[in-house]
Amino acid sequence: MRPAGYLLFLALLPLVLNDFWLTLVATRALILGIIALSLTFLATYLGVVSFAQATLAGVAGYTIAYFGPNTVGVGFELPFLVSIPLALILSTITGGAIGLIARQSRGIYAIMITLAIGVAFFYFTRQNYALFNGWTGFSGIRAPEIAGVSLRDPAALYLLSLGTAALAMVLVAGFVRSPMGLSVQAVRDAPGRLLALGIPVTTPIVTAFAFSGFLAGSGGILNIWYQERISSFSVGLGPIIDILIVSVIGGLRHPSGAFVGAVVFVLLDTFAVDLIDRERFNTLIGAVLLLIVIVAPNGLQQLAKDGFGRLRQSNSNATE
Amino acid sequence: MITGMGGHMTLFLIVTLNGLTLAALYFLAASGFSLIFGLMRTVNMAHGALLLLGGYVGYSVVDTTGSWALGVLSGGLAAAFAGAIVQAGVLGWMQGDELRQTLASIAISIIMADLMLWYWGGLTYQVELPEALSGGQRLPVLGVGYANIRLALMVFALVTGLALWFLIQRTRLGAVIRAGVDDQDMLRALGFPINRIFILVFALGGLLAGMAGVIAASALSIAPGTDLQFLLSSLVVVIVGGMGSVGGAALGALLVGLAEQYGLAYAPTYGAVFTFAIMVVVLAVRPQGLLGRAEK
Amino acid sequence: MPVRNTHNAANALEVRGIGKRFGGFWAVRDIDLTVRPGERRAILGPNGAGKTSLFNVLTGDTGASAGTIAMFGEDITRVPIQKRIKRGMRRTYQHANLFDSLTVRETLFLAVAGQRGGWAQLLPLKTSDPRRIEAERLAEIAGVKDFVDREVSDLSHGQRRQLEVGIALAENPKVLLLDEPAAGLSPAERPKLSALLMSLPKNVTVVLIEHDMDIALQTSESVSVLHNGRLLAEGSPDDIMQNDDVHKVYIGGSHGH
Repeated sequence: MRPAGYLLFLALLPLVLNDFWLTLVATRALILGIIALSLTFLATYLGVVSFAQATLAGVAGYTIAYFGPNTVGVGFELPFLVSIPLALILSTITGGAIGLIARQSRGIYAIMITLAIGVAFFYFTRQNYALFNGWTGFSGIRAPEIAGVSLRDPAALYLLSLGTAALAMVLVAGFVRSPMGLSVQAVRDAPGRLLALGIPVTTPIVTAFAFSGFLAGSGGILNIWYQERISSFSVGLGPIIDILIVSVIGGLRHPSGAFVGAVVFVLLDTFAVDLIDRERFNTLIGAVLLLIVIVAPNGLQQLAKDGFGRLRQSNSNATE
Repeated sequence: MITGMGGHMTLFLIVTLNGLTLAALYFLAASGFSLIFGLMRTVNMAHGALLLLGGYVGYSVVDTTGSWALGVLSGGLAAAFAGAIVQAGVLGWMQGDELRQTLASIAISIIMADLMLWYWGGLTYQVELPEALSGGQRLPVLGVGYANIRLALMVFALVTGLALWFLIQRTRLGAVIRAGVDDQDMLRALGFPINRIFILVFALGGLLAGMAGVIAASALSIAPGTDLQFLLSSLVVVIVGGMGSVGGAALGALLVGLAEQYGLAYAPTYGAVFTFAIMVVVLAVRPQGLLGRAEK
Repeated sequence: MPVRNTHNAANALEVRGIGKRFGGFWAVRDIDLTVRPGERRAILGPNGAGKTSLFNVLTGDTGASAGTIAMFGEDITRVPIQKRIKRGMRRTYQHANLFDSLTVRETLFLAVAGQRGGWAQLLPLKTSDPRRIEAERLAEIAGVKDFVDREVSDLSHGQRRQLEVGIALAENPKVLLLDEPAAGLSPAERPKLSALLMSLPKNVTVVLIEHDMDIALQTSESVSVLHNGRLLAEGSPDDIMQNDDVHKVYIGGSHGH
């Protein structure tokens, strides 16, 4: 029961970490990791790198903002028990719709199309005031309270994010072993052959995207409670690239890489300021991405695994 | 009543001309992007950054020398040089691994955008126009006034399009590029110096982007974010028009440019949706793009 | 002159006057075949004899230029490949494109389950699921039971071939068309495949095209030999081995007489 052990250890962190580490590092990494998980899931099992994951997280976030307490006077308030499921449903449907649009595209074509969708959504939120309140977006968003404790409370939000992340991993593991999950992987391996078995490929693709929308949406809800605001910049190229960088750092070959990447990214983001000019963070992160693409195209996780493998091999060679 | 109708008509004409202006710019930007993609299957995500670099360099040169033509030329050359370095220094080493190239070009575009922000700041720049191009023209027949630079831009796009068509259809390099679209391995097996050709085509794509950048900075203006705007438009233009085809880029640019301007004029808060809708409809009906060939 | 055929429902496959033309060239022409239910039929011929063209017309991968095909008395000449599958026709592929990252069991499960199950497809599979049990039964028939939980990418070429046959047997097909099942197999792998072909359920009609004469003669009850796009000889393996024409064009040819 190693995963349970890790989980218990992580759940006890609020006892030892101060609010800075807990909120700005741990919680932020978890939330970013959940959203990036929606991408590594797609990349690993459908073989499609999607640039529309910030859009999916944004759809859920905007839903919470529009139907929740905010200080910009746009939208109307619904109880959280309604708005949260609604946000998840909308991000799931949007995910499915994106899958439907991109269903015939693989590789770089899928990247181009999802990127175009993501950026078009960004411009749309900037132009549209009725639903998205233009480029200023929503602020003053409050997380719900349970028994007098706000979910924005550092320990509460951390535990909620941890629980969501663990649940998301369990769901991914279950999904890929389900009949539909098998079809999804079959589409990645040999779509033509799946057709020859009489299984249409559109359903698995749309389902995988919809599931990815669900994952991104749950991360998006946590993110808006964490940020307490959302605007077009939350779905712009910045977050699109951030999610991609997190996934690439962790590796696009295994879903859990998202969390490894998220921790590295957040640590860089938090402490780079001590190393370089705060203003030049993008140059640093771009250089990190470039370095990883050149040196470790399968991500840090794979690099570590290979490294350990080689280490173990040389050890066993030495003992023989 | 009649003046009212005339007002509508004038507005429509102006919006159409604006759409054509934008389409001309989008074509200039997308043609280089499409050319690179067509030959080497590389999605150059740094294309917008190359365009912006050209625009900034062009501005600086016009600012110091006062020569607009020199500005366009040096903007184009700067981006061509940067493009060649990108291909020779990074992307060329990953030839064949398209996903890796895409990711690497994203990293490069992030770094370029940040360094340009550092050097040129967050200001909006507009290149000062030479005498001949400033001012406007009352157009015959249509009876509306329109800026000279924008008319020149349309002519420039037309000339560039024809030149590209000639290059690809009528020259030896063009024959190689057309062959490359069909079969890279074949070219390599036949002993063509394909790595050098790739660098050359990347430089050509950069040249087109860079000149488009200076012209965008003249007809409109440039600022941080312009790179993203033109990267998006290039993506949509080649998705709609078809990958690796000059005619496709032209058709895609026309559709997207006009849709964007009509959208802006008649449905301001849903403008982005039009671009998006065009893309979705084309993907549903013809996934390879209007003038593209089917993916193998 | 076209003759209106009346097809006999007692025959698994009835091919009348089939031809396939590419431009001005007839790859196969005037082929008649009658395959009884449960029969093992090999279609043999040297390279370029028209085997693959005939096979593709039978499976529905390409349309026929002339003639008719009937399956159990029903004309299927114009029936598209997906509908032929629904009527119980299956084929294997020579250049097998399989789902490399799935296990043998998962691959066979997909072949059995198709896309049925609706929303339940999203739920993890129970060990007692009948489709899973059926997948295991197929694994046993195809001789891949010992490594059902291995990933397909780890299989040898011969094991992949066996898996191909297992996939084709899903959902109890009536007619099984095998596309050169022995191609590319090592000498050591061949007997195993022959054994598998001979042990196929007796109610399944099997037509295999084969370049390898030994396997064809060993696993079939009857053999049709193609040459230059036409039917050269037909009969039992013994008849074919005695046939002078066959010796001339096929055996003789390949041994360089």
